[in-house]
Amino acid sequence: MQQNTGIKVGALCLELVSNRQIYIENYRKLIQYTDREIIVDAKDCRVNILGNSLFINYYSKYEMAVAGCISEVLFR
Amino acid sequence: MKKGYWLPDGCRIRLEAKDPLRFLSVASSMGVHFYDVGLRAAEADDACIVSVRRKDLRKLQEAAVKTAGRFTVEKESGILSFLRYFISRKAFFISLAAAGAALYLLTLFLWRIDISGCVNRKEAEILETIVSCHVDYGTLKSRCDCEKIEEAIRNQYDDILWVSASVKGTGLFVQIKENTYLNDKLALHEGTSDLVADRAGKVVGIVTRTGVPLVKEGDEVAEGDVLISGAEEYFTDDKEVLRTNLTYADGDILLESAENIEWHYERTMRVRKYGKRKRHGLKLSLFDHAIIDYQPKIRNSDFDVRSKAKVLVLGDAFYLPVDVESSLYQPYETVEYRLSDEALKTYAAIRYRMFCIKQEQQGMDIMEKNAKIRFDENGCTVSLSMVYRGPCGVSRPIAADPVPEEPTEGENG
Repeated sequence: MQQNTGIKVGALCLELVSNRQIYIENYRKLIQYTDREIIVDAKDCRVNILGNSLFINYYSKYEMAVAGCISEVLFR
Repeated sequence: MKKGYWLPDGCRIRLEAKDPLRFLSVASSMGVHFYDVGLRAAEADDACIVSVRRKDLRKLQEAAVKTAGRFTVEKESGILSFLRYFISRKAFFISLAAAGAALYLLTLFLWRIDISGCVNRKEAEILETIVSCHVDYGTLKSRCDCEKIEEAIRNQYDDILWVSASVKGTGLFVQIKENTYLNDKLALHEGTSDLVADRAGKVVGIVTRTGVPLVKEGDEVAEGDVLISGAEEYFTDDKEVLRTNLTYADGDILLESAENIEWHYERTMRVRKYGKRKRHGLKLSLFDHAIIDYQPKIRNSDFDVRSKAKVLVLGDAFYLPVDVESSLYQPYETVEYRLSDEALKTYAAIRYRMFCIKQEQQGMDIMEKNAKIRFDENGCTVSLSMVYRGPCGVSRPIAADPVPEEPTEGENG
């Protein structure tokens, strides 16, 4: 029996590679960008990426690639 | 993740706005892709450094108007910007055209002659024949007639079965196939000859192809004895020699020989001990003339030299008239070691095994072998007595009978 996961179309999509890299898709906008914290606003939540030496490698309308030493990913 | 994208038409820009992140969001929603988004510039909170493609600058301008910001191009990168930088410089295009023309000119000549397939013939011999066809290093390709080269090589050497010459790029490639079987026979059959024993022993097998066999199975022969004679004598019914026909003697003779060999190995062994410091030499030749020839000076020491030569080549066969030869100079000292009995025995055993392998490679079949080793103060002596079977016989030209001189008129009168 298929379980309803409640995932909507256009939901935020995160792909974490180790703690060194994170790909973010379907975000709305970048709210804060420092080398210790990046805050990204999505359709139904806000994501805080905490760490050290954070750096945006790639940024476009649909996706973003963040590199650095990621310590926490918080959803609010 | 790697930092820094290489963009073929990229430029590094400085964004300035009241809220740079809004600038980024607006521009990205317009389809601008940002790479290596730097943190806010140190001297100002309202600026950040990013990389974008040059084609996105127009969209970025629209975004700047919308967000009341501005941007300045700080640095351009990529091959397109490089060309854009040089587009107004005549010297660049002149040198580019000159380089292209020089390359084109170089493609018109032969800068390499490659000969392959030589077994008995030397490459230098074949090269001489090629040169006799007026084709050499630096000859115009249009003057290189491959068919003429092939014909000249075929005419010059009877033992070459097949020859192919082709021009590929700036190289002339000559492939030959020799008739090695015929070569062996020619070497054996030149003139008239006897087949003589190259060592003493007992004949255990004989097959005669041409000539008259003088020995039979079971005969003992000494070194230098004629086994097969090249002089074929024809007799009359009265057993008198009618005539003698000289030919080359040919056949297979199997000889069983006994041999006693003694080797002496010194206890002191000289070994080269290489130093850690290596020196390098370089030789650069252009059009077969040395332009740079650097060889390091090594004093008070012996050294080994290992050289590696390379011809500059573009692609597969576009050889350029530039040769680079790198040399490695390795100084060494000769150190004397005194071997123990055990080490000396191992060394002698290795040499003995190598000798046996060499004998077998020469077609010798070792029937019996008995080795003894004696140690003394200076080293060791290995005495080997062995019985072996193997092919025997070397050609020896038949000495022609001296032609009697005709008496001169003065002597007669």
